[in-house]
Amino acid sequence: MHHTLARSKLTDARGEAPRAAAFRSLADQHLDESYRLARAILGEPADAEDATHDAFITAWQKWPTLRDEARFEPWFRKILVNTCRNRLRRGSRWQLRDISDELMLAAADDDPNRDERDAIGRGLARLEPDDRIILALRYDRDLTIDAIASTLGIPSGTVKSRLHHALRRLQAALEALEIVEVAR
Amino acid sequence: MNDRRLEALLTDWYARATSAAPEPLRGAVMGVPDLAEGVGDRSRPWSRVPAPHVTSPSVRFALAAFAIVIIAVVGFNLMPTPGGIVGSGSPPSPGSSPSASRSVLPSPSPSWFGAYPPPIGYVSTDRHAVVADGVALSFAMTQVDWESHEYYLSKSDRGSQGAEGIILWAGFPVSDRYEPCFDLLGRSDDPSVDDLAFAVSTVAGTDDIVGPLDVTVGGRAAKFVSFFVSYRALDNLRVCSPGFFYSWETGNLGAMWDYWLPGDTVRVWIVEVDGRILIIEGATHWNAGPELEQEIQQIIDSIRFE
Repeated sequence: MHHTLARSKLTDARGEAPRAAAFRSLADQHLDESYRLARAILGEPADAEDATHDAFITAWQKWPTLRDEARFEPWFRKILVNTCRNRLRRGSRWQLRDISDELMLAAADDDPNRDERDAIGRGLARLEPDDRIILALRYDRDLTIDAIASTLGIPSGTVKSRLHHALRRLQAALEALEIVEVAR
Repeated sequence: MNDRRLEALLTDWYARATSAAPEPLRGAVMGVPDLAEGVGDRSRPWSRVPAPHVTSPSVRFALAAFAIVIIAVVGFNLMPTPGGIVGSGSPPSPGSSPSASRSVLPSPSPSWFGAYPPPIGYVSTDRHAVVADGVALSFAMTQVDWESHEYYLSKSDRGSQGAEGIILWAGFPVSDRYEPCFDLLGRSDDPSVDDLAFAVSTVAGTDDIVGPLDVTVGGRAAKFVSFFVSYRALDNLRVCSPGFFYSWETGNLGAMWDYWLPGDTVRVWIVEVDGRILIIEGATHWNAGPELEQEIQQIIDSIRFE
């Protein structure tokens, strides 16, 4: 339904400013999920805003390469993920931080899973950018292996392998956190 | 913890992340086509802080800064010993804009970054000395919270790259950071300060150009140019045309130097020091506020050539 409406708006607007109208319609439709993915990868809200904004600027610049507007979502997701990755790799300034507190974990005090979720946040903060990206695509965006492969430009088998290793590294990070906490 | 439990926790953890994009971001994204056409509010497209109404380009520029990054380029060498700048810890010149908060006067003794690369961490409020592509200078750091990141320094009050400013100093033609198209086109030699200032003032994809103006830096005659990196700059990506400062870096959407972005305001001081040309840039990103713009000016005003 949502896609149909968006396409209809695009069609209506073609006579006046087709490029800008198409951009605005698709950007409006996908902004929330894009921002959410950027936050899942970057953590810091301000960084996520910057990355999302930068990605849409890039999308505007590369608009002529979007041959089929129905394919906007995977096309733009690649741009956004690359923007987030570049930001994470740009230098020490963008090293990962523990974002558990920043992601508004509004669990009740008596939530039996609260400690585990907090540990997840701390564990994610210790992962490398590529691990964090692939976990966000799989467990936040709920993408299929093939969709992740398309987004990252790698074979599906490599996605499976990277997911496996990312989970192992997260598990190791959680175990290390437990050790630290016991040592305290 | 088994895999299924770990996956369930991950899914739950991500699900608790906020999903709605902030309205200022939405407004900025919706305005990207307008910005590219040059009809939008170009200076601060999605600032979380309401921008005051400003019509003058120079004043608008002054309102664009909120954080500072100092980038020293390749060839940014550090003084090996503190012998050259003894007693140079004077405060910024009277012409500097006063800082809004947490100002700390530099101590009389210079502080040194140490061996290259500079250690990562906060930079002390002190006078610091560097050799930028053969030009020895010192500057006074009067504000706290500036961070060193090996070859550049940064400060961002709100933790956002969009709220940063930049100062870059590099020799010409020693550094290759000015011209990402250098490998493709090569570079003409022996430009004058006037040649370079004119080239900066005519770079494609810039607006609100001020200058070249005659100014002084460290007591020496210099040229000053400022400009806004237009969203039209996007149309100039991958364009390399003859002349100085001709190129736009494709990798990070940056213009001329490193990774300037559309929405940035860049100020350039060009000064000749003992036969060497030094170029100093002070830039601010779109989400920056006025305080760090003042800090940039303080740093420029405090420069001394040794």
